[in-house]
Amino acid sequence: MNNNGGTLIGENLSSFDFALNNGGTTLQYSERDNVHNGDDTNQKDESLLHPSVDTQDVSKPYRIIFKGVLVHD
Amino acid sequence: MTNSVKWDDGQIHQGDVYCDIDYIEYADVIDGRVDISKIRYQYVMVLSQECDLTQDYRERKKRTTGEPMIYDKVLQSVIVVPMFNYEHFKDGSHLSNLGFKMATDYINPKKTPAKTLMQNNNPRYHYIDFGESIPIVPSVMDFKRFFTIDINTLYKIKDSHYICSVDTLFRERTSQRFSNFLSRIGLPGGV
Repeated sequence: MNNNGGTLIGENLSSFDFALNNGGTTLQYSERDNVHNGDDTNQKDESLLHPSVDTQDVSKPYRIIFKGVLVHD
Repeated sequence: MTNSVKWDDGQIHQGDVYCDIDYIEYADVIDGRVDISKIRYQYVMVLSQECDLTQDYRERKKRTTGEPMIYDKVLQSVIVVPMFNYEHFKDGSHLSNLGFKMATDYINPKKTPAKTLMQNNNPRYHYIDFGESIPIVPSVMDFKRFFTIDINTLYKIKDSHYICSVDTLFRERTSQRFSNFLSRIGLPGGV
C-alpha cells in the first residue's frame, strides 16, 4: 500500500501496470527504459525523467528509473 | 553441459530460468511523488526449495476449487540468482551499466582461475552451459548476488518469461552449491 491508500507496491510493479483505485487518485507517470526508446506515449512529465539511462547496454543488467506524480482528480 | 527440461504443469520449479526479471531497488511515494528504481536482469534461475514451491502451488490451486487453503504453506517470495553472460563476466564488465568494474581473473581460459570456475570448483560461482538446444549463452551465477521476487508477480508473468528449467540432479547440485556458499564460515585473520 502506498501512503495515499492506493495499491502500488507489489501490485504487478514489474510491468508498471499501475491501477490506483482509491477514490479519485490517479497516477501520472513517466518511464525511461531503453527498450522503449522512441515511444513517448507513457512520458507525461519530461522534467521527471532520469537523465542517465539511455546509454546502457541492454545485453547486460541495466537500471530503469521511474518517476511520477500522484494527481487527485 | 547442463541438461534442461521444460515443465508445463503450471508450477514454478527450482531450476526454472526466466528472462527479463526486475529487482526493485526502491519504490517510494513521498508527497504524492512516485520514485522507483529497478534493475532488469536478462536471465535468472529460481533456487527456492522445490518442496516449498510444490506445497505453495498445491495450496494456490485450491483457490480455483474453493477448498480451504493452508496459508502456512503459501510462499511470499522466490529466491532467484541472476545469470551473467560469461563473455561479459570474464572481462569484468557484466555490471558495467551499474558502474561496477568487476574482477578480470577469469579472462584467460587456459589459466587456473577460469578452469576452476568452469569446472564449478570455485564455491562462489556456478558456470552453466545449456548447449545449442537452449538460446542462452554460457553463463555464470554469482552466489553473492541474489534477490527475491514476489511469488504472485512471478506467477503473473511466468508464461511469457519462462525459458527452460535445469533438469533434476543438475538443479539439486546448483541448489546445494548455493546453500553451501551461503552457510560458509569465514575464520578471522586468514586462519
